[in-house]
Amino acid sequence: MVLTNCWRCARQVPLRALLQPARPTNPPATTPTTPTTPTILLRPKQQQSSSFSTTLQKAALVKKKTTLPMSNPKAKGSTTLKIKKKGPPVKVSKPAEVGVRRAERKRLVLANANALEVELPTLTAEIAKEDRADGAVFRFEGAMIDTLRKLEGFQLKQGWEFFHTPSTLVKGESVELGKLIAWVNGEEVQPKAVQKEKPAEQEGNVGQEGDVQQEEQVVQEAYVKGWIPTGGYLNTTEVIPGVAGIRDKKLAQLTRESRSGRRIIAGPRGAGKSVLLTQAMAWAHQRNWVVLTIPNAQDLVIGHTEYEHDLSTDLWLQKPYTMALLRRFLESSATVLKATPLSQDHVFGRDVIPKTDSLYKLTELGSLDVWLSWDVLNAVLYELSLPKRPPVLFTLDNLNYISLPSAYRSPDFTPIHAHDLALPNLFLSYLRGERTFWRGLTLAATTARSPATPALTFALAGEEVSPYKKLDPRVAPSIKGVPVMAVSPLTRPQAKALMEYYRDSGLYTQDVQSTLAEKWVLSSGIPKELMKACLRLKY
Amino acid sequence: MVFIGGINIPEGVLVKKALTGFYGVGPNVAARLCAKLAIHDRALVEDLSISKTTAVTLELTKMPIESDLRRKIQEDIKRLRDMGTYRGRRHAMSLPVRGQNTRSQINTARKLNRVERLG
Repeated sequence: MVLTNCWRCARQVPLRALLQPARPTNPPATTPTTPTTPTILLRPKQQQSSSFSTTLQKAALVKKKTTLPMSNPKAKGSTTLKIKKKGPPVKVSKPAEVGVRRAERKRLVLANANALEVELPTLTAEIAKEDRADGAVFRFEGAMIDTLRKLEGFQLKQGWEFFHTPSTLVKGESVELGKLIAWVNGEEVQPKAVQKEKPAEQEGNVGQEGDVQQEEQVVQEAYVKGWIPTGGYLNTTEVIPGVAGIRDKKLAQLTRESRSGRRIIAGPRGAGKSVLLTQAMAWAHQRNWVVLTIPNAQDLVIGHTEYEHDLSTDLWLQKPYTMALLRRFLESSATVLKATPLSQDHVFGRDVIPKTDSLYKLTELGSLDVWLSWDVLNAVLYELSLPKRPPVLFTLDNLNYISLPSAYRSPDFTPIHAHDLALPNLFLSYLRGERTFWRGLTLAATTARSPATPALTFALAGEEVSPYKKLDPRVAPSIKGVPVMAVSPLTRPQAKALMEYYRDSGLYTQDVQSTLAEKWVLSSGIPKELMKACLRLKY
Repeated sequence: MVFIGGINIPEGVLVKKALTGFYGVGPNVAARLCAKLAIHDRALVEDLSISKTTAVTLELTKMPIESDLRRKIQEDIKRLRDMGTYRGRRHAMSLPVRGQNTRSQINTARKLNRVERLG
């Protein structure tokens, strides 16, 4: 083979071109000769807009991409959040009628046919004065249960539904209250014996006195943990009105016979504060007293009843609640009210209750007409403050709730303090002793289940409060001078009496004597905890 | 049915809840209105006395609510638009006005921001 070019010329041609097979003789002028040539120069002249713009190329690329079958049809940025709307819920069953669920929730069960009936003495008026009754369980009689139910003396979650008949343990504080009631009633009361009798229960535990003392110490320490105990109370703070300025001998004598007591019952949760109120109600009712109750002070402050401003007193009246209060009063004390005369005619606009009618008629008017209820309550309280009127027990449970700003709002939208509500204000004036009945006892019980009320806690403990502490300044003066009854923990004999009652009711199957120490210490001497430990705690 | 502020309200409704049904009355305004007239939290429409019902209606007439408030808002937007402001344009373009991202979730703006704003 003879080369067409001489070797000298062949040096200027790339060697690769020489080794490749022969090409067509007339290729286009722009056909690349080498692969290293830039692509941009290979495009036809008419496609190039300008040397610096890449728009057309990119557009061409995008166009190519859109032809691909797997590409996303939506452009980026157009995605939106789409939440499927659910239809209305499908109603499976018919909803309960209005009030049915509430009635079910508030249903109070006071008897249990499955529990064994226990032979117990009845809680009578005489027991109130007996020191010997301390540590014994008594049952409420049938008629008394009905009355206490009307007064809302029994509450939910107190465990009444486990037993055949409502029964109660009489503690040291019960006897103190009972004696107070007897004293206000004008009866002779024996002061409490200083030397306590040794509990009979210890007979079987001879030689174990040290253990008992140790257990007692444990119970005391556990009981006061987290709760500021009060420094006890005095028996000598009852209000005995002075008769020095009274010239009329008869009036002076009547005034001398006037008696009025007041107490705040305080203690940890489940200590039996509300049950003490229930016992007081029972004893007062048995002595033919009239009983006014505010069973739960929370009802007054959570904004569930109507309220209106009273210009004359600058207080907020709650007339529907006052009407309910008068209705409870009327139903529970009807017999006594019917026998109580009126001192004067009472005129409320067009309604007139003449002097010849009884206190019952007056109360009835207020319990039927919501607009008159507050005026009628004041008239009834005036009548009860006069001499020779029946003694009055005025109780309020959950005192903590009226030591706080309420859920009600004034027109300028500031919360109304509970002390500016007329009913709490009225109760506190009786509790402080500013207003009195001719013969009356005012009792308030605290609660451990309210929002924190540090001002009340300090006031009850009688402690000096640092001026730098942000406490409600109205609370301490509102209960100034009121004796505080601190509910003490269960003693060993009291715990034993309760456990025997559980055993006799068929609810506690273990041996009382051998498990007493364990349950007593576990419960810290709190009756509610003892019941839980005996009835509910399983191992 | 009780006639309050120009509409009939069912009787078993809480007053506070019923008031929030008016355009321009939210929970806070309703609570303040109830406090002003001493209406408690759990008051039902049927519990209101005639004088209280009248008082509620009177208070509502003093406030810019419903069509008055709608008109006022539309006028405010119109003013922005007429001035040629950015906010005015965004309102007209169905886009968020206050600098929100527009990548996704601008449903409220899409729905409400129109030349004549809805709602």
